[in-house]
Amino acid sequence: MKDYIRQIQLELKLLTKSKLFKIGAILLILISLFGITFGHIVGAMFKDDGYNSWNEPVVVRDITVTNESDMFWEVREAVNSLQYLVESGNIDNGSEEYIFADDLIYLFAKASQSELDYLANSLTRQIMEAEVKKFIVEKEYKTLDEVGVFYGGNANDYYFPFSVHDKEGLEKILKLTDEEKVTSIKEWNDEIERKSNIVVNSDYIEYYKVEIELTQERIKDFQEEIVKLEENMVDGNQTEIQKQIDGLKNSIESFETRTIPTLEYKIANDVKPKDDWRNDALNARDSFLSRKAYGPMKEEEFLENEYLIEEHGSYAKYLKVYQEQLAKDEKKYLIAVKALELNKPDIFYDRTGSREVALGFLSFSTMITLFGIMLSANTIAREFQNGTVRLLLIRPKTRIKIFGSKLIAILILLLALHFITQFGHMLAVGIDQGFAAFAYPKINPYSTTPFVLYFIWTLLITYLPIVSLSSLAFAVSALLRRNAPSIALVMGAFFGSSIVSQMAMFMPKLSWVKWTPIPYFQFHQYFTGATNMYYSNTTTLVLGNGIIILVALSALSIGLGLWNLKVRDVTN
Amino acid sequence: MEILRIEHLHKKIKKSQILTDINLVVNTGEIVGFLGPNGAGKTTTIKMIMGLFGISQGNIYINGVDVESDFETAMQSVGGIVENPDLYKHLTGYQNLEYYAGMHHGVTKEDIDQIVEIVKMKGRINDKVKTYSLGMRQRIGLAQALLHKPKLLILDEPTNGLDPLGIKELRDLLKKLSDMGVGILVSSHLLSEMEMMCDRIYIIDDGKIIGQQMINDTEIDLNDQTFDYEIISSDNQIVHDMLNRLELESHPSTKGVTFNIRGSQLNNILKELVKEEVMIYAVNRKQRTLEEDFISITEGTKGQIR
Repeated sequence: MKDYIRQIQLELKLLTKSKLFKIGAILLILISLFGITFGHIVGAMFKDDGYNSWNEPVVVRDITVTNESDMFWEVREAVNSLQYLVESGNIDNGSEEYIFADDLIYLFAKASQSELDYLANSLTRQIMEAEVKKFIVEKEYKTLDEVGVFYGGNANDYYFPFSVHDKEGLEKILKLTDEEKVTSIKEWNDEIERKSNIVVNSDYIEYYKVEIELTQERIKDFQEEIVKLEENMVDGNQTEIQKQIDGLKNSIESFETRTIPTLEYKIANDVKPKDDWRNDALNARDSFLSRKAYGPMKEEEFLENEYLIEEHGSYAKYLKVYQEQLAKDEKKYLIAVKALELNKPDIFYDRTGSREVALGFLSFSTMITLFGIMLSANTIAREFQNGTVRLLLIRPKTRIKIFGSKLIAILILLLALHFITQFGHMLAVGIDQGFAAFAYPKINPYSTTPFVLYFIWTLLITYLPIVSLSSLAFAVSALLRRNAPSIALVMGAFFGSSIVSQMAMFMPKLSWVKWTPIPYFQFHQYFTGATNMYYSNTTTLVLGNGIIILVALSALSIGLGLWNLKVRDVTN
Repeated sequence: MEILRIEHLHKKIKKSQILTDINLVVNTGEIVGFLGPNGAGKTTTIKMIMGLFGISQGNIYINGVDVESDFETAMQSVGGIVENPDLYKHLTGYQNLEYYAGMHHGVTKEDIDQIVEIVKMKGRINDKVKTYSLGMRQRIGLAQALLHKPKLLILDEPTNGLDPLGIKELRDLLKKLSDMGVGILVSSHLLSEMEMMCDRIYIIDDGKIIGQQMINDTEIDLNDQTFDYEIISSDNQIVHDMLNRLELESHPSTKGVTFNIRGSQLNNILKELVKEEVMIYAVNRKQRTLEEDFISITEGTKGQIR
């Protein structure tokens, strides 16, 4: 053992003096440290060149809406629509309708500046609907034709984007008595005032309260609907009506057990609508509960869906995949619940934080893998190509000891490089975005782990493809004893495997690749979810399988490589 | 004492028989030459001794240890160069020596410095090997072979790339090492070199040892062996006539007469000439050169001397 350690130390010294290692290591470390800075510089250089004819900012009176706003496209569409309606003669320029429509666009543009984010959009649409209804009543329109562009029903090809679509509702409004009109206008004015205040003051707590009220109203409506349906139930239509009743009951249950409690949670915990991780966690929690409540698709429905039949083959297989997905979702759900309980975000529900950026950089392990292939093949093949092997193997050491130590030294250096580049990048992320998020733990369904420990775990797992491909390069170079073909062959296999993995995502016939090392050469995707692979049914990455497959490949490669080096004569 | 013993060594690569029944011994303090034309099997044999080639059949013992069964122990007693001394070019000479020294037990920095002095590379030892001439690489090659003070030194064509002064220095060094008890096996295809360097020579051709020759042999029986003699005298015709009378074949040489006799006959011939009152200026015994021996041994084999 002592002899091995001594030999490994010698090989480490020899390797670190090679030009390939020095250049490669310096380059990789520099990229990891300054990649972010470089990104900022490039970003700043091209920042102002981002606009062209289709995403130029839209100016509405004193407000400029840029494409950075989520509401940009809707504002742009509204402005263009109004212009089109004028050009097509559906609305007169300067008319009361025109001025009203223009005011609505301004209202919407103003909402785009609110800090309420998507809530502002939703609320302003509700305000505008009330404004339109008020306008129709005040103008004393009697028919849908008179409502014109402000009715957006199916038959109307020319309508304003902020028009009312509910035909029945509009017809009711058109028939209101004078007394009812006064009451309705008062209600709409109250609604407009209340919701406008929310938007203007960015009062999201008030918004949540409004949402609760609306949901409660919806529950009441649904309950009334159920009573009506039950009354209408007669022999013959029983199944169909029961289906409708079940649907309504499910919705009520969903409102009562998820929608309202979630809104109440947001009020109690002051959850902001924008940039608050708890929104994602609450969504994950609710969507799992919904999925679980609704259950899998019924067999009849499945058999009607050709795509699903092609994807899964049979209903039994679909059910299996559904259960697997549900189990995964449950894991996410448990993490969400725990994160909310601890009031500390897990990485999965804090996708914009430093931890996510740090984990995203795990894909950089691919670069270390490529470097490992070069270093490994170069170290072995060059001994034979340059003839240095003749002075090397006449020492009082077995070939296994000499070449084994060389490989171990390579793997130690790659491990060090993997850790240095990843922690170097983490440091750069911390400097750029702050270190606070690194203090949050990684939350597991039933426990928590400090993020740094979790990060080390991810580094060890993503080190496995580096080991297996470097070992493969070791075996191939031991066999070929030439540098260039060995590197070309293993790199070709690596890039080829990447293509096959991508294909497997869309081709169920290639699902067997999940039992090979192919998808696991990109093991970082298990943590980053960089592609659909993580979610794909055909090549879902399974941690345990990946570890076993890659360890087996490494062991096989090392065994074959050493055996080859041991038994073959040194002919060159 | 034997430091290297090779017994019935065979090497087969695929279907070709490369070496057949090689038997060879090197004793401590002895410089043994391994002479043969290119492709005769010298390097193959050396590679098998050093563990670079596997052994198809036979045994190799270094310092009494079987190379196949206990490679590490056997190799502790050997140092050498096989073919060219290819070193790590991106390292300095010193770094190369440091690396190889690390693979042996007990080699200190002082030992390295001492070897560097011996091979006269002190001035350039910290330069990168890629800047060295072939001769300088040979010197470092020799240094790495001697680092761990081996009991057996194996050198494959060690004079390649050395200038005449370097060759002389190498010769002197090998002599010194043999005086210190190191057994040395040197392969070469250059006869003159072998003659000057070695105590004993094995001649190999076509994968077989075809002869063994002592150099500077002091134990030759002059009485029983026949030699070519030359007599330079005041009257070469009288010498010639007298040899004819004795039924000995003679030939004129540049200054005298040459003839082939056993050593024991010389005394009588000289007595007869004195009686004839011939003035004898010189009697020379002509030695057969190694080249002549080599040609006579390899006559009829496929090997060609260069």
